[in-house]
Amino acid sequence: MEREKILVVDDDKKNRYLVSFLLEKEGFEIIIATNGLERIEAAKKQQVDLIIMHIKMPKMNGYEATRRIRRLKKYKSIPIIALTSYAVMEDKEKVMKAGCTGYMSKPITPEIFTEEIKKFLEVKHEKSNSS
Amino acid sequence: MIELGKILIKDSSSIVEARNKIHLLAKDLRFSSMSATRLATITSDLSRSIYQEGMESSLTVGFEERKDIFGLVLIFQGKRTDLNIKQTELFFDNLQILSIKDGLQKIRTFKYLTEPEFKPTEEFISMEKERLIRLSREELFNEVKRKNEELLKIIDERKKMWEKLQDAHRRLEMEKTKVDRKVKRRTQQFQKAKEEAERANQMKSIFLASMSHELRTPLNSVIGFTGIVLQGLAGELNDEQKEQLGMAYGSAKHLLSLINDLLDISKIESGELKPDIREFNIAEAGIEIRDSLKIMAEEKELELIFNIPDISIFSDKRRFEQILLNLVNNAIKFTEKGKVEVKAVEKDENIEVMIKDTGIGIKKEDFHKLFQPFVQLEYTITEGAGTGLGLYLTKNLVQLLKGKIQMESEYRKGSTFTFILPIEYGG
Repeated sequence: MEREKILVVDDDKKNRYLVSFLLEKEGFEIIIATNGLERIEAAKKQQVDLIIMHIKMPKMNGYEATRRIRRLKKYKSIPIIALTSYAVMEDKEKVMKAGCTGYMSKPITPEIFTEEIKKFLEVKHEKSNSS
Repeated sequence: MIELGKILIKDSSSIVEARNKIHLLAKDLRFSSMSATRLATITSDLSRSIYQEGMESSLTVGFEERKDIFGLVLIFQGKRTDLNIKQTELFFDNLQILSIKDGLQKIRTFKYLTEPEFKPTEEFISMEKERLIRLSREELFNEVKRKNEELLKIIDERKKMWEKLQDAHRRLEMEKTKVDRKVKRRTQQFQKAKEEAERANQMKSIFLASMSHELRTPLNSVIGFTGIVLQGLAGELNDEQKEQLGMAYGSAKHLLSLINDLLDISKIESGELKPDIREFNIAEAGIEIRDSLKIMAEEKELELIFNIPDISIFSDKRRFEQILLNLVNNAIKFTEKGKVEVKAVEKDENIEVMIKDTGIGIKKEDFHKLFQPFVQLEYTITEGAGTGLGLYLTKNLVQLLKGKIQMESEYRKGSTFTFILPIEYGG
């Protein structure tokens, strides 16, 4: 079976490494982007199965990037998970409104993180199987 | 008696007046000039002796016919006389002293006219009557003079009063300008101080917000990578390494919650944190909290009971959960055996949520310290103790939702924390 692709967008190098490390351990293929614009480009180039989006980013924030990605036909329904820091947790509704599937707040707890991501992917599979 | 008139004796000038009038009358009645003078003198003396300030003294003058001969009647009324009237008595044909009440005395004198055939005509009587009543020029003058003096005095007093008023007014005006200037200056100072304080507070909030963000970013990777290594994802660890790294992991998490609490408090204090009011079900919120704390309670073998009715309230769900989480988390942390019970009841316009534990409790003398920042009671410092901000933040959150929080406790028996929130925040 082909490895599932996850697009990780974060402007912080350590965070990117942390998230990629955890997901690669679980056998996912990771594509990295460092800001919202780059991510849109990356998403256009190749189909990914899930996007992990850091909300607070330079150039284009997560809300705007999510709205733009959702406009692309092939990304109408793939899970987009927002990574928010505690400070912007109040904005969780804003995150959902922008089109995210779910959100996780920082800091990442390694033992929970990959489990949560897998759950989002399972839901996606269930949806595509039933349709 | 045919009364001619009554002269009021009210001052020394009226005594002179009486004397003169009697003198003239005596002459008209054809008394000898010596008798007339004597009559005048007696009038003067008697008038003076019965006169007293504040007492109504008078001299009544009239005729009386006795055995077909007319005589002059003088009635002095006033205070008791202290004159020896023996000599006076001899001058008259009759003299009577009559006492009337209140220390008043009446001296009635009668003297036959010198000419027995003299009969007073109507014309004569009316002429004499008029003369008696008429004020003398001197008296008129004195009256006018007195009135004048009174008026002058009044004018003078008014003038002085006016001057005083003017003076007071001037002083008031001066005082007012001074106060106005002071108020203006103070207001400016206050305004400036207020603006400075607001600016400083804003700076503080911005500083704290960005500071906590800056602190959190490296902390995220500390927690993340420590977690990875601790989980053995980067290779197996021996027990000692696991234990030591576990401590670092715990400390990092503690530091994070401290930063988070600090950020919340700074936001509440600067008024930046506005409650997000909408309808939510408190039973559902309770379930979320129970689920997140279930493991912690199970690890300590504590019974965790939630009894929250299916009620919807208008408040801030996230803050409600934060309050409940903090209090239940505390209850579990400070309870070694027994149970933690959460109960909610609707009371009037409020919802009352009680969190009761069978834990270590709080000593009475420490009650007042409880909701203050950075206070940790000696006997409550357990492993993985709180931030010292938890209850302070909780209190602030409760107040943010227009509620109040209270606590009852018995040392070594347990504590009950109760927070009361309005069912409708805006109501």
